[in-house]
Amino acid sequence: MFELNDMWTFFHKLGSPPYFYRISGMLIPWLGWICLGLLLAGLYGGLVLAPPDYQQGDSYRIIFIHVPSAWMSLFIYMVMAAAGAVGLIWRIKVAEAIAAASAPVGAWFTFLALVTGSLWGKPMWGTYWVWDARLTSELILLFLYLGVIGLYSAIEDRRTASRATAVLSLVGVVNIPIIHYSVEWWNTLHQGSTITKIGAPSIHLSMLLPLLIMALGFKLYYGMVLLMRSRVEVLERERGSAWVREVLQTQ
Amino acid sequence: MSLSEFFHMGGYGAYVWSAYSIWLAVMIINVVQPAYKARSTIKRLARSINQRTRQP
Repeated sequence: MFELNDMWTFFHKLGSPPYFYRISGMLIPWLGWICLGLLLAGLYGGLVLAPPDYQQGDSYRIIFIHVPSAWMSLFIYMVMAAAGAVGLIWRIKVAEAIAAASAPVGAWFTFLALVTGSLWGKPMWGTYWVWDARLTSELILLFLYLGVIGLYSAIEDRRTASRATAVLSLVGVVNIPIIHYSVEWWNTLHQGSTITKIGAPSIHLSMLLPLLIMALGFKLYYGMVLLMRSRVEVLERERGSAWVREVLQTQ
Repeated sequence: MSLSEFFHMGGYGAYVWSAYSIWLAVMIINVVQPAYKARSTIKRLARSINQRTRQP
């Protein structure tokens, strides 16, 4: 019971801007170093240790950045929409900052998923791009992110901007299951899921392991960049308050 | 495996290495840009606070 209480106080405290600023400053270097270690291990496992694919040869190695990027593009969108909803309902400033900081990172991962997929598609499908369900819905995701970024920067008052973008990102959530199930609902050129077949993934351990390590590295990378961006956002929003003055005077 | 084989990637080197270079560039940009923004924001806010405290 005590542990549960501690957890709640922790989350409660995280909602306080000065506490968030301090904790995130301590977390960023840790996330960065662990992330770097994971990415280097994943790259070594994926590019050097893993054998070539029996059908796709070495071209499949793009999977180690393509799939984690695509996962992140969806995951970050959900974080952004959830943080936006929390900001909308409870007016928590830190949640608003997290939503605002997530949009550019998510847009970059969506860009990476599209570009690396395209570079994988050319040798395997014979084309960089097709207007099939998976690719089109992922492109729509990029436009949603760009819409959120554009709307946020178009409104001068940050709190109003946060409320408007939260509504837009919540509406865009309908796109997420469409992307996820697109390979099952429609006949597409894009291959089906390799990993989520629970129990029996259709991928060898020597390929699965680096993929999962990379995916974890990507998660930590997002965590680090998210904190870097959102703590500046918090600082900017709170610039009139006493704690920011204190922080800046010690600089 | 030789180094040239590694870069050749079974004939897919151009695709694999362009994908990985673009990825690396994006990963670097996304750390450098917020770090730079943090520094410039802190500087700007500190300056405006100093101005306000000097001329009340």
